Amino acid sequence: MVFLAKTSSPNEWKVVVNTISALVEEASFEATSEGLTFRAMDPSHVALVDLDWPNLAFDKYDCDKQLKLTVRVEDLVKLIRRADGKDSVEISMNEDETLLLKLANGYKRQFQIHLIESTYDATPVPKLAFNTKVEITEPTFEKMLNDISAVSDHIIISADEKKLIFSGKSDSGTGSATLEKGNQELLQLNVKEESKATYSIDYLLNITKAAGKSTDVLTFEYSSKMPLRLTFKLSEKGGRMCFYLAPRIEEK
Amino acid sequence: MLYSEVAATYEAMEATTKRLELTQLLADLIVKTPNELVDKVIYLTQGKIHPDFMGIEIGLADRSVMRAIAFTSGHSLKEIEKKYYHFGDIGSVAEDLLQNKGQITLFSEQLTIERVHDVLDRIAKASGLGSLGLRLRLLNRLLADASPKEAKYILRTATGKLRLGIADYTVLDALALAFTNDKGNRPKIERAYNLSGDLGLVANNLALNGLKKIEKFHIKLGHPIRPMLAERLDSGKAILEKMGGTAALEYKLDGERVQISCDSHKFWIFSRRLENITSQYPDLVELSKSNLKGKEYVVEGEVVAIDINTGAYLPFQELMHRRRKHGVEKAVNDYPVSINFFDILFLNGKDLTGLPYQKRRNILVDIVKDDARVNIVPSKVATTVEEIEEFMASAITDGCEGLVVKDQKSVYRAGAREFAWIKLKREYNGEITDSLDLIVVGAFHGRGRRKGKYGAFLLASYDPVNNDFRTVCKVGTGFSDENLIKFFNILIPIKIPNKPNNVVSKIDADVWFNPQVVIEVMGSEITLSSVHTVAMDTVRKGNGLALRFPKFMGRIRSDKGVSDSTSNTELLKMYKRQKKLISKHSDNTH
Repeated sequence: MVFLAKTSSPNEWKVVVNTISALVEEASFEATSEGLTFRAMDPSHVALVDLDWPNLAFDKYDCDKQLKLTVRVEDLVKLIRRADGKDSVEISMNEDETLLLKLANGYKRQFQIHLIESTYDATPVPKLAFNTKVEITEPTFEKMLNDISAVSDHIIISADEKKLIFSGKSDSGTGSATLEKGNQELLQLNVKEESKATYSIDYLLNITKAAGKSTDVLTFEYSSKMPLRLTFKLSEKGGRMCFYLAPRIEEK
Repeated sequence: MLYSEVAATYEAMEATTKRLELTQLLADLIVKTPNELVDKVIYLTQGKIHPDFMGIEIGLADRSVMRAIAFTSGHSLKEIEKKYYHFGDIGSVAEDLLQNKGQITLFSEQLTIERVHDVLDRIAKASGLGSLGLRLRLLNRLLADASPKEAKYILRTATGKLRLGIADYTVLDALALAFTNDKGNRPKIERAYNLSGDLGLVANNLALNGLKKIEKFHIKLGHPIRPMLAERLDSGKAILEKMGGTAALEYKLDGERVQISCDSHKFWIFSRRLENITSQYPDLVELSKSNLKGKEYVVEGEVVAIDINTGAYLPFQELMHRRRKHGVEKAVNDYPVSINFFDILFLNGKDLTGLPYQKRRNILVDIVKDDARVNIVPSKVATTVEEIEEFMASAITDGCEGLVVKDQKSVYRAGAREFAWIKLKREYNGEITDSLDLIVVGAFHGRGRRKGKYGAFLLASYDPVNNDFRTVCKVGTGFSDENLIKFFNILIPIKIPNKPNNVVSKIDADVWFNPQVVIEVMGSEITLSSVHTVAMDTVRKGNGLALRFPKFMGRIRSDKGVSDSTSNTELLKMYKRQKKLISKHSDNTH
């Protein structure tokens, strides 16, 4: 056995594959003795995910050398979907270049998937400085996004010291959703400089739904007309997912 | 260097059709280009990523590219199709739809020439099952960073439709202008191009090493040399005048002209259009290995489909079966070819193109070991019109198109079309519609699949005046396996040890028969022949008649005796009738 990682619940993997599957068709995980990492950008270079999953966050973790595990995301999604809420998930690799996935909760299942060759280059992480940092509960964030998506495909996020406003407009009309500082759903609003930027709702909604499976709190940071970074914990034991999204140009 | 600068030049090029302006625009672009990138700019400007002979093309379909546009622009495929019908050009569709793409990327960066070339190269080289997905992903990433104008030219390049009208000679002029400020230097640069078939390589050499080095440019094994071409005249008399009284005649075979380049164990075969066709002709590589002496060489020859039993050349259409990427092995067996060499340009480190024709030919004869599959193109030195006509007649009978007449003193001028080589095609094309009934007088042992049987037969017609049999053709096509067994059995009883006295033949058959079996054959026409003996000296002294491209029609005419077969007078009539038909045809057209 060259690699083995076990979690007592399938939730972390569900979050991971749901996030990744919206962006790329193949995923290259890097495994070292320290843990599992993953980074990929969607082909249009609009969104990027960066996963850091340290060994301590697993119930059991073994890896004696640096490995690259590239799989077809679709293959992985299908298998992870088979996991029930209380199943443990054990992923391991033998010398033979196939990935072994074991699901167990009394009833045991075992799957094998073939690794594929990676066609992507290494993805860098954008170097960014953010003027606004927001901590918000996940259900509220998801609700606000859904509210705006009723009128638009894009969301304009405006923040000043006192409030956070989501708004949207389209040919059919406009809409806005406001959270003022002090609202209990808004855990932190830290604005160095007033910020306003537009993003695609689809991308945000998709990742937020995925995050909801593992966390109640999201953090997002952004600056005017700059990319946004959304961060959340994978589980209480550790593990962090970062999601970067490029802005849209303000429509004239 | 930014791709936007190239795109701006392309836009200016599209706005003009004047060659001088195109040349100047390209020269200006080359001057702006860093030396080490000149080759890439040249390839891209001609809508390529590599020289043609490397055989690497991008060739994405418009329909696939639409998916990439949909992805990057956020428009639906339906909208894109609508635009496509409107513009009729995928590049313009992208330019239009990417105007307001709205979405910025995380790592937006301006496209460089290097990146565009590199990504297009990766797209071209991605192959195999599921490669379309990868190719589109690569294209998406490029489009994500492209301005609308850049996207237009990138997509036209990716679909093989960047048509800026930049011909090879325009590039050569522009290179001369850009690097020497003098179009007069073009011939020096052109020479290097003629020797390498690679404008990028020449540009690169010129940029990095200057004109002095280009003048010393030499042949590179594995790169095609642009072929020397022949002018055309239609009479032997005019040709002799041009050549100054003496000329070397060569058969002009009806096949595919190839150039074989060998660097010890590596072989390349290039077509006349400088495509790399090595994979189509594994048999030629083997024949070159076994029949050519020399570690390094570049030779030229004509590949012709042959009938392995008669050794006869087959029409060009037969060779076309070899034009394929798949099932090459089967095609090699089903459609055997011979290679007929006619020139040598390089041997063991020495460039021979500066030697006169006759010297090169002598060297060629020295290094080629000929056999059934490897020949040197038949040739003859002529000083009279009659000699030319006679050689022409035998060329036609042997299945050739005509002659190539060469000046014995001429050097090999790569890429040039001059009167040092002159094509002489036959004046007329005959056609016969009736089949002929001819008598089997001899046979040849079979080869390959026909081993142990007869592979081909020598046919004759009966001459009632002289009461003898005179040969008309050697036939090997049209026989089924059954036919061959049947023939073998029928002919055994009439086999005789030597040529019968009443058979007049210049050909020596392996086996002779009493002339009595009549078979039905068809051919393309009746030609003059120096080999066959029927109607000898009737039309022209020293020539008989022959049936060109004979084919067995499947019937043994047991109902016919030898005196009922097609006679020499009938053949003569057929020859004259077809000739009359032709001259009538020519009268109408002139």
